[in-house]
Amino acid sequence: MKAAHLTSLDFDRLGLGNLASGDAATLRAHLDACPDCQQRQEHRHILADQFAREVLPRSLPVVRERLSPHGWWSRPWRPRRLVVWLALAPAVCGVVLALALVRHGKPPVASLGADASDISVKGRGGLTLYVRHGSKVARFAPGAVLEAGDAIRFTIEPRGNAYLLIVGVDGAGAVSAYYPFGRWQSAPVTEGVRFEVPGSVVLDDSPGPERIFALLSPQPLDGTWVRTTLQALAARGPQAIRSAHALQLPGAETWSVVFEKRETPR
Amino acid sequence: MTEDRLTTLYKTYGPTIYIRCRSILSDEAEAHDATQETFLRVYRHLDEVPGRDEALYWIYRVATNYCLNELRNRKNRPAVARTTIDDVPLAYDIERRIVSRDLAARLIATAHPKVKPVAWLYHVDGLDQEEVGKVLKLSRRTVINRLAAFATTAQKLFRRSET
Repeated sequence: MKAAHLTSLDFDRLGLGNLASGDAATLRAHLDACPDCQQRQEHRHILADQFAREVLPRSLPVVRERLSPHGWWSRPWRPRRLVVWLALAPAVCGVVLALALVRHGKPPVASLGADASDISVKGRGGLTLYVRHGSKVARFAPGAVLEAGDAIRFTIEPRGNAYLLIVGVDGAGAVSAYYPFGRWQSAPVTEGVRFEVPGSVVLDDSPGPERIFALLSPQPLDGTWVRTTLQALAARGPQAIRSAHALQLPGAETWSVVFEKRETPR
Repeated sequence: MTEDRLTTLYKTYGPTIYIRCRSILSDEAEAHDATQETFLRVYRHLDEVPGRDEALYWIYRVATNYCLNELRNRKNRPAVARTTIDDVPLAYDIERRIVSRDLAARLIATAHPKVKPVAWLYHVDGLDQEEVGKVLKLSRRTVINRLAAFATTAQKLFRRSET
């Protein structure tokens, strides 16, 4: 311990029982007498609870799948193997594409529909948005105008499909993956349990529409097609973003909501 | 691999990794992802680690390097700012911690990749030089040299900001 207080390593050693009894007693004696360290310990307990309650149930199935000996990504990358794969990549890609076409006729394609209304923004479960404006937090109302700096949180109730992808496209042409953040690959959620997407999205200052899509699918979804579709939508301009209500992807449930962003009044 | 062992290890080391990732990334969602990635890296080689303390050092090394890389990669991400509406109460001396932590993080962000983890463990986590060496598998001399290099860089930045 360099500092006068317990380090994070000290807390972890104590928690994991890695210390000799004398060292542990010394640290505990400090802990008993130090309000600062007690508060840090309390904060760590809160985070550990959060891990057990939220992170573990969601990520353990993914970890297990990725560590499965049958998962192709479970193999460690080694330079020599990588070179071989790079050399074979064009041929492998050709074979994979051919197999996919034979099996499905054509690759799954995301397409945009113009259904009559936004879906499941209220009632009926599904996707719900909460907006924090200043110190006020309110449920999002369809058609609302939001400001730069407003923060949005998402909740969703999966009703059968178990992999979630939340994406957005705005009038400035930017496409974003909001859950999992920055990744165009859906992540597992627990069926029938209301899921609060961790973190929030803070709106930037580019005015115009932003449309959010939530996609739930029975299998992990590669969002490459979704991203391509959204980029094409962005290229068609703000009005197209306002009117494209549905993102249709075979096998996936989708929800969509649009709002207008305006610059913060000075 | 048995599923029971996997679950037990994730329950044992997961909180440590998650707290570590939250501490460095200051973002709940990114910490979720980083925890998963760190554990995957750790699990694949956990059998090779001789003792529990060694395992802990190793977890720190993997998590710290992964998260510092994520901080570096943030610069290349979409322009939409993302923060957490944090529901965790942090009543204790929060302003001082944020200011000093933010300053340290900004200084460390400018450091050489080899210096970053050393500086983080020493200046932010408060580990002593010997512990930093154990975590990163570096000699104490190397730790001292890298801390000196960090100090030189930091001093230059301070001088520049004063002029």
